[in-house]
Amino acid sequence: MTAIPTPTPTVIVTMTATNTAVPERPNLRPTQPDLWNAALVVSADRTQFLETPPPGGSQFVFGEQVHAHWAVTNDSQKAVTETFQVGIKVDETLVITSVVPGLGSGETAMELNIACRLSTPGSTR
Amino acid sequence: MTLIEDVDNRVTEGNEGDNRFVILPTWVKPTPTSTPVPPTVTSTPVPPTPTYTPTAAPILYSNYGTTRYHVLTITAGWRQFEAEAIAAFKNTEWYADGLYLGFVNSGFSANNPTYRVDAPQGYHEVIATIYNSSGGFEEQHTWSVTVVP
Repeated sequence: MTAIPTPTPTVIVTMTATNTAVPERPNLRPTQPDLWNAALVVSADRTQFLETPPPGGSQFVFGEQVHAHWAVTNDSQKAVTETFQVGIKVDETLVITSVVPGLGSGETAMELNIACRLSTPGSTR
Repeated sequence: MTLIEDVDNRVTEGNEGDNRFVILPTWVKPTPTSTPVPPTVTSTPVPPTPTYTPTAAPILYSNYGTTRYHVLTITAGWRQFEAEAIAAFKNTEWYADGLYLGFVNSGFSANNPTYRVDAPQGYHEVIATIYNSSGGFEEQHTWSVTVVP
């Protein structure tokens, strides 16, 4: 007599993926454009160029005028439509603010030759 | 010294963790200097006589076709240097006072290469070096510029 194999039940799991659209958000970040040494550059001299600061320095003299140069990019696919502010802090004190009237996807905002002067001794952070 | 984008968090961003960039310059106290002795004036300086009127033209052209050298006196302010009537697909490298600024390609539409600058007072040299699409040197345009108030 031949044994009839008992069929083993097969469980088929069906998974249904639900795509929930996550709205992409814009993203701003400091950026280093071509020919810049960094996203934030401080130099003793002004730059004569419209989009390129001087190489920048690491040591400056109290009371003497220096020039700050910054660049910020929107590295997302979504434009920043609202006005925002870019700031520079020295020793946790906000000393410079610049208003940027929005920034398109992939675009870079920059400001050069912001004249400032530091009068308090100490290393900056 | 910290650069902060979106200082007051008006923008809701995909990544709020990349908002800062820090540099650490140091400041030193000024070195005391001795009291300068005013120079003795030995003669009354004669103001130089301008030999020609400085130009206030907003665009300083140099015609494409051969290497050219221009000596100019211009007034301070915004200026555009332009290699005029360039051919298609030419690469132009720009230099200002010895600093390389980058290059542009004239493309199919033969767009003139331009360089804009808020010209400060003093002597400056702007150079446009033009290469063909194979990288071969073709010609150079030099503006030797003295900027006056």
